Amino acid sequence: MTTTVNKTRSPLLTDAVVIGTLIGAGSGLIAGGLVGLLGMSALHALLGGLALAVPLGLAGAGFELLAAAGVLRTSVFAAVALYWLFAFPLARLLHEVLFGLLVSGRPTPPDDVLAFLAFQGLVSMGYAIGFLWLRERLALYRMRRRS
Amino acid sequence: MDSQQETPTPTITGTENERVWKAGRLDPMPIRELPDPPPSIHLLGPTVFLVALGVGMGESYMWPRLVLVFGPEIRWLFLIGVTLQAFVMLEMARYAMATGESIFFGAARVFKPLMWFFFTVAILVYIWPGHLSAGAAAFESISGIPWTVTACVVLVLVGILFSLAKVIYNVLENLLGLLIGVLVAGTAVVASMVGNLADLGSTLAGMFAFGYLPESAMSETWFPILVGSIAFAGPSGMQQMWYTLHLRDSGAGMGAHLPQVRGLRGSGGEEKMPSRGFMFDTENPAEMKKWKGWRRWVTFDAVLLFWGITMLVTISFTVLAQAAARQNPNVGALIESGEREASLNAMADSFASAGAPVLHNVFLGFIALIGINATLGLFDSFSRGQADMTYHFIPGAKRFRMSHLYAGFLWGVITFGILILLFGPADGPGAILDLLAFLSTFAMGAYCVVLLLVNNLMLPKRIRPSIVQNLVIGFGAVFYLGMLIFSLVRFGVVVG
Repeated sequence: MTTTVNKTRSPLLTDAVVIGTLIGAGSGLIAGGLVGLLGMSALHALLGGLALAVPLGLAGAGFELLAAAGVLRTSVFAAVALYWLFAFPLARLLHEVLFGLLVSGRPTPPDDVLAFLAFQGLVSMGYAIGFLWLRERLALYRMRRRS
Repeated sequence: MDSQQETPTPTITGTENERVWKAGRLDPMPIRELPDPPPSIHLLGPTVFLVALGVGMGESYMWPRLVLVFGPEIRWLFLIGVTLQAFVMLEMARYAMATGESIFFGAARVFKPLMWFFFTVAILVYIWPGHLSAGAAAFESISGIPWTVTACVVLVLVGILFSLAKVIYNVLENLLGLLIGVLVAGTAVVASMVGNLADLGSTLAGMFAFGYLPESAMSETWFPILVGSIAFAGPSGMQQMWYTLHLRDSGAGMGAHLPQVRGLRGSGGEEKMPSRGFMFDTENPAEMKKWKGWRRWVTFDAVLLFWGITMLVTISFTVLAQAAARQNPNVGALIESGEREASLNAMADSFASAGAPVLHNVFLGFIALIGINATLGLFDSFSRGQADMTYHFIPGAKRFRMSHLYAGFLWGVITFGILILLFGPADGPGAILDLLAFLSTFAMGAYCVVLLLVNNLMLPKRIRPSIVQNLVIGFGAVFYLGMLIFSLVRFGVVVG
């Protein structure tokens, strides 16, 4: 019985983690993907996109793992917003530091880290709703494909 | 012809097996069981249409512009406008979920000319393809493709998409849901990269500066623009009325007893549309419990999905506009001057020059995305509303299937749109622009009056709105019509 449950749960968990990672990484890469049309440095664009896509993608995967473990209740918006209140500012801070490191060879953290984190924390609410909305749509699509 | 005075008092009559709800002079509604409500906390649902229609130029351009001109304190009027629209949404849903009928049908039950008024206004206001111009122009800035070419291609693609869909509602809900999800998450990321705590703080605090109205806002130049911006806060014109049709197709409340509109490809499988909606037994406590569940469901939609998302997108765009004006003072001057395309391009340029070149295209990409959302929602809604009224109230129209009437209106408005884009004025003839702007805002005041009549006269007492809800909708009627008439009488200008 346990084996059956695990066999059923494993692909669903993989799906969920893929979806969470995709949404997070996609959010960061949107910026990088469009820059080619503007004729800017493709390498810088890619690095900028990746510097945000990787932390947001990891945060998306972390969200799904916590949800699968039952720690994070996705049916309660406050819980989702709370997760991104911490994850989004951290991802943005990593983005700022990584981008400088990749482009100029030295990390470039914001001047006032606390004010930066506070601002990112407030903006995270918007990101949380967008993430949750996309997640529901993609999860529904995956469920239909499976059935 | 019917008149309000002649409208019979609504009653439940008949034997136990054939009970009906009589409302107005149209066919009585048979009593049927109300379906069980879904969980109140949800993300998928018909509100996506209202958000797609509502988050447009008002949120991304008009209100950021007002903030740059008058300061963030002016946003209290936006708060009033969107909150009022959330109440309107809840009251629209009341009738649609209780009967499965559109608000147009409800208006006809009260007084048929009311319904014909909205039928005519929809044709006059919504056949012009001007709403495509901002999004297509933004796409031109990114890709270099002339905006008229993009607009014509989008029109044809929308027609093909809706014609090939088996059930139009399902396809559109999924598509708009994805696009809006990208928009909400994306604008938040962009705002987080270019904005700062001070911009966000002032934008948020400005929402609570109740009563702030600088002298210059009461001028001939700005008051009509202010009225137009309040009317464009959230869904404008008839967009809230169309929401009742999307509720029905989503199967909300008694809408579950009515068939969905299909695309041309799937029209063969369409069930026959009944000539009226249905009512549930409001004397049955079990049914009333389910009704309360449905009200909780739609309240969640109104508060978090509609009000919350509209607010978030506007806050993001206001932060963007403030950041752009700070980085390049010329942007502020351009935005204030009212040159929309130039302003949007200048905002995009300012992000590029501020060390985030990638944001130029991302920002314009979001403007294009808003344009696509609005076009998809608008064309579907217009065709849905006109087909519904035609099917039920034009003699002989029941010979056709609803999906055929829908396709007729859809391809009619697409063909007209392409002809106008190629040979005529996209926003409508200059001579009637003022009339169109007047009708669009007037319709909002008029639907508040219709809501009061329909929900208080055509529904059973137990599910009618409370005194508070009636007062808010009554305030809406006075708010929209009062500002419109004041602008006309005081300044001789309709809305900006």
